[in-house]
Amino acid sequence: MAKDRKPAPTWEREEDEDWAAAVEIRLALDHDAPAGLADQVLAEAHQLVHEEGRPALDLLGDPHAYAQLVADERIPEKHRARLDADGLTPGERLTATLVSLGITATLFCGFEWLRDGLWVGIGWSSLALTATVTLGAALTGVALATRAAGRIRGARWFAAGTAGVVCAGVSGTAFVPDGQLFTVPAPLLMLACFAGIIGAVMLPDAALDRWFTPASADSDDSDDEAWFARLDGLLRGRHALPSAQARGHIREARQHLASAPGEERATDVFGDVEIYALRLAEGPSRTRRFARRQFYGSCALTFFLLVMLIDNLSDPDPSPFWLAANTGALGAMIWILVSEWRQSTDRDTSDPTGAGTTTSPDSPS
Amino acid sequence: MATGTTHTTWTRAALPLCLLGVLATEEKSYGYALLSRLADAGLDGVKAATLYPALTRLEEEGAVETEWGAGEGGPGRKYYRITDEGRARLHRDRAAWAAFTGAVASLTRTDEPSTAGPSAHTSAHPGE
Repeated sequence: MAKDRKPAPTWEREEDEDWAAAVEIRLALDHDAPAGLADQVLAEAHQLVHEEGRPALDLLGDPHAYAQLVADERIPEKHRARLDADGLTPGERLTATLVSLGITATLFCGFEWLRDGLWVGIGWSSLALTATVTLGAALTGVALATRAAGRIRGARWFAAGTAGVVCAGVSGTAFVPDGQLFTVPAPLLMLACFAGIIGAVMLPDAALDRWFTPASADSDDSDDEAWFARLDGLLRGRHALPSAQARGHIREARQHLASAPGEERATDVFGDVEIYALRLAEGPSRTRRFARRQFYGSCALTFFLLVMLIDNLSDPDPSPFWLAANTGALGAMIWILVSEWRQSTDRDTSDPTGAGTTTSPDSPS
Repeated sequence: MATGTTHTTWTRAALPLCLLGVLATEEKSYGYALLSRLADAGLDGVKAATLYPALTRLEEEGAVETEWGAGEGGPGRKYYRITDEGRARLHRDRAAWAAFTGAVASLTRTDEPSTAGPSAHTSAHPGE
């Protein structure tokens, strides 16, 4: 990519500037585009828009679809094959979860400061609840990262661990003594949460990726079963294919190997397992599949918010702030649920490229 | 760009059309047989790693439908059959391909060196 970054082009229309910003954001967030690619693409788009004298939206289409097209055709398969639905590697997924947890905790401490004043009382129950939420959220992050790495069984174990921690924590709070142990200033708590965020950001994503990714099944490992197991995990975990569909692909690949003369291994015939999984999964139904997966996640969050709201309402002296916050959050989640359900069932939501098999010219066939 | 890479890119671009063309001549077929047909026709650069994703995409686009049948001593075999939508697409794409190859031929037919300078236009299409 370009080593010397050119100055950003000056767009003549405000709508074109918005279009360019949308393309740049989508490339960065959804596709983890390599440095310099967005600059290069937008410089070309700017020149074309300038020469044609038409708005970028008319000329080049929806920015989301255009970013997808750029990603499919210009980002090498080897890079794209490592990413999940949100353009994150497993290590980045864990980091993102921990950062989200830190931001939420910081905001919570800020609200407590505004509501109850500078000093926050800490008791056994609040300690137990904090430990439960922190450990549960961290384990959820690990479960999501493990799933994105294609390790379905591992993800299930971590998800079970999350459920176990939450159940133990919630039931444990009933047995801890009441009363306050000590008080701490809210800003100190916020500082601790902020330090946690910094710590999460500093985590080496590459090392985390290596930790989550199983030993290569496609280099010296001659065991085809390991290759097929890895393909199954990647299709279901990273690319959100239904189990039956993933099994169908594996059955077909096995059949092909059985038909082929000689003793060729799966890795010789189908190549790098991560790239093969990407190729099988990046068809027109990709958007619907990921929307369906997000819908299930949103269902769980909606249930959690509903429980929080019921807890608020059953309180004899409910806090108006938390009641309003929970109601607003629940309303927003229901709106998101409807939107995601529509997207997951919309037959017209297809690959924006609308082209044939999109593979990078530099990737092996 | 190396010639081999160029040919690989061309093959991939034309692969869905070729697969529909082969399937239109047969009641149904399966991956390994399709690969053999392509190789017999001269497209021996197509590998299984490219073929099955292309077939999967055609299935998702509704151009082919699939069914599982008995294999020969191995796991079940997945058969592909062209749909009416696939036949319509084949007719459309065949005409478009003919127009495209005609245009390329008209541009590459002459042996005279071009006197025009290089175009200053830089395409914004990401594939170019």
